[in-house]
Amino acid sequence: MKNFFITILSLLLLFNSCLKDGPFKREYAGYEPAAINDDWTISTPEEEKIDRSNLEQSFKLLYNDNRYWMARSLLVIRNGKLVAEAYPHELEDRDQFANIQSCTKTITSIMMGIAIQNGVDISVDDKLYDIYPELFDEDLIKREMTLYDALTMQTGLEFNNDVNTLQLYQTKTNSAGFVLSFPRLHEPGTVMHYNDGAPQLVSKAIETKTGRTEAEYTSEKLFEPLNIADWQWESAHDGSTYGAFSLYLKPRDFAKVGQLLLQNGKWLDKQIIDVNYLTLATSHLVNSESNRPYGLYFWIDKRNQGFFADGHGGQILLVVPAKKLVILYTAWPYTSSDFFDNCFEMLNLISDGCR
Amino acid sequence: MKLILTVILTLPVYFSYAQQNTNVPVMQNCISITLGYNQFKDENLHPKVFHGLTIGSYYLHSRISKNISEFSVGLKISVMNTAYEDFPSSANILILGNYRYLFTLVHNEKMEYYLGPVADVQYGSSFYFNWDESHLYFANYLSGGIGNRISYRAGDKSFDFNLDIPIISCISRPEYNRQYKIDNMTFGGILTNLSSNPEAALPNKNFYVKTGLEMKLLSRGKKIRSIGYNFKYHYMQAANGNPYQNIEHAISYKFIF
Repeated sequence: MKNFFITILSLLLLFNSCLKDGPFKREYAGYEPAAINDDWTISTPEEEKIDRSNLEQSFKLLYNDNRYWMARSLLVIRNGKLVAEAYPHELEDRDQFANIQSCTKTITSIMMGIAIQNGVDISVDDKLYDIYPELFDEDLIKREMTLYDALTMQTGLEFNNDVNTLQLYQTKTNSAGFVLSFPRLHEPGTVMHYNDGAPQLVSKAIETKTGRTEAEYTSEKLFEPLNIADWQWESAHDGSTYGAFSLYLKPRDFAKVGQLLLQNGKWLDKQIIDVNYLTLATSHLVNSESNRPYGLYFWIDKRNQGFFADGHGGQILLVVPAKKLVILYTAWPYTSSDFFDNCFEMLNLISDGCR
Repeated sequence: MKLILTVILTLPVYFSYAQQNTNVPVMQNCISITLGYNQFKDENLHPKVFHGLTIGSYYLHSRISKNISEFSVGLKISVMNTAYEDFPSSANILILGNYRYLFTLVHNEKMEYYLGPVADVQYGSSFYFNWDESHLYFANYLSGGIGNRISYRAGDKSFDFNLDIPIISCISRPEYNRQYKIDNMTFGGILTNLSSNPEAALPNKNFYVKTGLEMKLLSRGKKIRSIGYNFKYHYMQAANGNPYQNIEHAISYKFIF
């Protein structure tokens, strides 16, 4: 019997072995892009005049620095050519969807500019009440809200992402009506309050004016011209596309959107986005609550004289027109601010290395 | 697999032998409080381990005669984090149920050995607040398997060793490629979600070992206290996702009445 208990205890000790962490990242594998016969032309840092040491430093941070343990992809495009790319978790990430989170807001802004370019009767000065009056309540001041107010996050509505985004997912009512039902804290156009509700108003406006959901319209007017075949975009219960989040793109496809922006909205000699709108959208129009410069769902990068889309967990599409540079960084979805938005150290290194 | 088949095929022989042992039926109830250390690795989320404290409570009812018939229900809550985080960033809630009918195979002055069928259910969910607050992560099952128990008496102490292993299960796991839309968080929606993608599974897809070593402190009358150590390793690999693993070490204190 003594042996029996010794055996049992030994087995228990054996079982005591703990689960082991798997790696978030692979060993450093360089940054040379692979030619896979997609639409990207591959080039080298030397040809595109990017300092290789800066690139190497940046990509080593991507692979090795624990601050970037969430990283999934980093792509560098200069002069319209793919110069560097890496997928530190697994190479398969190149062909998998990235949840671009709040970068979706930027796509919604782009779609506004595309609608204008395509002659849709829509303008940033339009009052939302004139587009879908049936969704408004009795608050007469709410009726003064314009698309510009929604695009600059100045609706004045009390929409709190921590609580209300979940409700926006769950509401069975009209999604834009749900957003408009929130109490008004300020007059429209006076206070910037970053939130997930305002882009839903823009999405619904595009839908009302074009007769197609934002996702359908984007598919035809943005993804098809850019030859983006694979994408996913979720809808609210009322069928309207989420204007603020839930768009999934593959990294190389998302980078094409950056290149389109760099080319002032022109793709293969065809103007896709209205130039005047794009200029306005990427200008410093308001300051966020944390005093960051903001345009029409574009963040402004004063240091690099560029603009960028920014999503939760560190999804960044940075465009630096003066350097003809586009950088895409995607990361694991992570919502705590403790490991957030660190990636600009890498992006700045790359930008600084452009001669 | 050969071993499992052998055990199943020889069970009737054991059972017919077991019928020869007779005892006066005794009803026992038990309330157990457990405190333990839990580790979860759900590769549908990422390859990192979440670990932390777990507390639980169970109610168990036994009918002990020549054989043992018993069922238990319990609730377990874990609060966990990763090696990267200093703060609890995840939680897990499990509802557990178990029924077993154990036949006495060996009975002598020092020890008894029981063997029989076990039905086991685990139903619950993990929430990874910082990682993917949009979805529920679960590894639920209803399984049928084999339970073993060895009871050994030493003076006024009694030691029980339990070992449960599943043979066939119905499992439920979330899909790997889910979109961002938050799961339906109504009561009905959660129930539907936690039962989604059901599939049949053999031990290569749903495997667990539940063991426990328990020391009964015999006392006068019907009131008995016991302390024990329990270990569980659980592995699940559904067709539509990546592996899930859970290891739990726990100590328990039981009030038997």
